[in-house]
Amino acid sequence: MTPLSTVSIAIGPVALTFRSGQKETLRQIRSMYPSFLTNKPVRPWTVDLLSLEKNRPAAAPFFRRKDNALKLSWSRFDGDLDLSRRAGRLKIRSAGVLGTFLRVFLTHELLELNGLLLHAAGALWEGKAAVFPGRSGSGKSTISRLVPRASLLSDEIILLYRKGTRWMAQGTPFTGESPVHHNASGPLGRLVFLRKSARWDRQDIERPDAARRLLRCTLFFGRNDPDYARLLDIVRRLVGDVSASLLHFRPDLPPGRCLHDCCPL
Amino acid sequence: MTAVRYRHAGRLAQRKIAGTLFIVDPRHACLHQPHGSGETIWEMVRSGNTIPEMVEALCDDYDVEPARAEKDIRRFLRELRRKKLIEEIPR
Repeated sequence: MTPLSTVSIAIGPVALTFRSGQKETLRQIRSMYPSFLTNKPVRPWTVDLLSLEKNRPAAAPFFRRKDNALKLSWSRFDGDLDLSRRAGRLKIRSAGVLGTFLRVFLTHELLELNGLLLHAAGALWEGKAAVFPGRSGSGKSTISRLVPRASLLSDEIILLYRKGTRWMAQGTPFTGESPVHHNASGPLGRLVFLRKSARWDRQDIERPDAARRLLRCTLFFGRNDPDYARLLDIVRRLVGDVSASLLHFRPDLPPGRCLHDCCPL
Repeated sequence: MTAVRYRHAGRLAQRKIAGTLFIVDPRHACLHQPHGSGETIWEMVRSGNTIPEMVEALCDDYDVEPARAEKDIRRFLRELRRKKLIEEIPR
């Protein structure tokens, strides 16, 4: 029997330990997520990596939960996890599919942690995080280019979760046009929705409007209505706790000003 | 003749957020937000009201003629059925 080696990663409050007899697979995971490796994972999920014999029928990725069994499925992976043991197996063709697996898995696990995964750029300033939710083409990459590199959490996907009484914004390894991302987090200061414009202007928006915009930017792969109901509860709490604005922005900053001058938290 | 009654489709997730109703259909991950009289009709479907009962309620709430109210209600219910958000309760 081939001895198993392990590699652990942590993205915010979620940790996973992958086990495999294929050292090359684990090497690839280390190279894909260098900033998110950890030697001391906290309450990790243990996932045994096995080989997927052949691609499955094309279908959108999803998770489905029934009792203590969590199924995560896509054409390129097939996962079965036991919720009580926080362990299971994942069949993959290559380590390259783990990005999709992680996104699907995170959207499930974050339901338990009062969190969600957003299509959003995020940055840290003034000791807080500004998160810019938006779908493709909304301007996330443009805004990200205006942020100092050291402050950028991600230009594509941000993880939000509730920690005690505060909401936290966490950088993820999932990037868009910019390869820059940081395994860093900060208390969420403001949700800033984007609108391309000829001018810079920020206006506060009401909670229902914020909720609607947020839901359209939320990644979610559940199939059951109780899971969606839980997601709605999280969004309701989030927009109740955190201020939201609509930022009209240009691709260039006003002379002598930086982004947080135009968008204070 | 027994009046037609409808009910919400069983798989929907619904919540009110800051007074606004949000409905998610997990089959298609679609978000629906009925407003104003649409939300009133949606709630009356939940309560099991017939169309005549809905007409009476909307005429009281919105100061509209019964014929116009019935036309709008039927159109909205057709739309909800088309989107498979409601289903007729078997008689």
